[in-house]
Amino acid sequence: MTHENMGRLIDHWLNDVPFREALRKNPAEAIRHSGIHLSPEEMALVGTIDWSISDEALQERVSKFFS
Amino acid sequence: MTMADVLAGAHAQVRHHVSDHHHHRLLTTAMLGLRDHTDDHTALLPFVHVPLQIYAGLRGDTAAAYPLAMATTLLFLGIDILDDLADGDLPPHWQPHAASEIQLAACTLMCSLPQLILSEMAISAQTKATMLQQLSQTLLKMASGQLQDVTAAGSHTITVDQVEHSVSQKSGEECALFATLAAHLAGAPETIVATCAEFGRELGTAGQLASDCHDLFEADHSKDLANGSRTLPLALHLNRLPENERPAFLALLHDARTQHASRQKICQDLRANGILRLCAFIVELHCQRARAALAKLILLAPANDQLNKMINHVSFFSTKEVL
Repeated sequence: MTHENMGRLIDHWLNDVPFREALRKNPAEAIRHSGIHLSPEEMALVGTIDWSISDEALQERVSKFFS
Repeated sequence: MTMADVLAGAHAQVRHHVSDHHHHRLLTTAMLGLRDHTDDHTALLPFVHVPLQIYAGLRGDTAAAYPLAMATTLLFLGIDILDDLADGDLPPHWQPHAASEIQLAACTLMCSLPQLILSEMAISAQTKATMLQQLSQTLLKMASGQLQDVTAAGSHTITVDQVEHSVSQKSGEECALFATLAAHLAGAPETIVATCAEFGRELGTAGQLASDCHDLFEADHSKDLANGSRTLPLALHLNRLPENERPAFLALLHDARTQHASRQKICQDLRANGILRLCAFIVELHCQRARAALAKLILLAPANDQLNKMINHVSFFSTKEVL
């Protein structure tokens, strides 16, 4: 998988503040209006994760599973 | 029985099978490599807990799987040593030893001791044959994955697909092996073995991708940048850059092999371009698949909970719990 569409989602997240707010409130609706086409698996993922987590908080959660 | 029992058992297996004093001393040195993984007794170790919990989830307890966990521990260690040797990144306890000795230790740990342990288990000849065949097939797949990995070091044209495939072939297949050996030992039908493989593969892939992010964004010294390894965050960033910006980033990657300032610049650029978040999503995709496979297995408690905790430990979005 190239994850190109997830990459487009991230670009919108980074550069479009209203989109970021809309995503936090209703991810499925925000993505439908954005014109980004995610796979069913990616849509399922988008609906379950916590969009309020900041990049700093994400970084704190990085763990080492294998050396 | 505990993780400490597995490790003590692994040491005992080495003593039992290796009669040559010099060879035994070399393997005792090699087993110092488990210290970093096992100092924290609350740690989630895939090479111990995946086989034990898969077996317990299918059969109700872990006891009969302890020799298997000893075998997978030694196998993991051998693979880890070969990986460190290929990366030029051996721990200090290897310093007095030549590369040829270290290779020999790794080969013994991968290609001899686990097989002897499995062959001595009190199980049917058919189950033994199946487990030994599975072990050999996985080592072949992992060798192909490792070859991809070493030939991609320093590459200018690595794709995200290639990186994910290589990780799946190495860490994914390794973790799939831990799960499938336990499933075979438990006498599971082929459909269950296949789903255990799917669980292990997705957990192992997610775990390695998360570890690669840890190496880049969190570790004091990035082994991957030092070795020129092309991990997921680097491949994602490289492939998202406009063509005319790639040469500058590739030059930065080259400098980062020796210069800390270049490493910091790379981390800043990747964070600014949303790469950490994109990696978090990709890791979560694999975690989601691992959870789906685990749900299909319908394992007994508490094994099911423990394996879910392992997935949550890898996930960037879940609460981390102690095993």
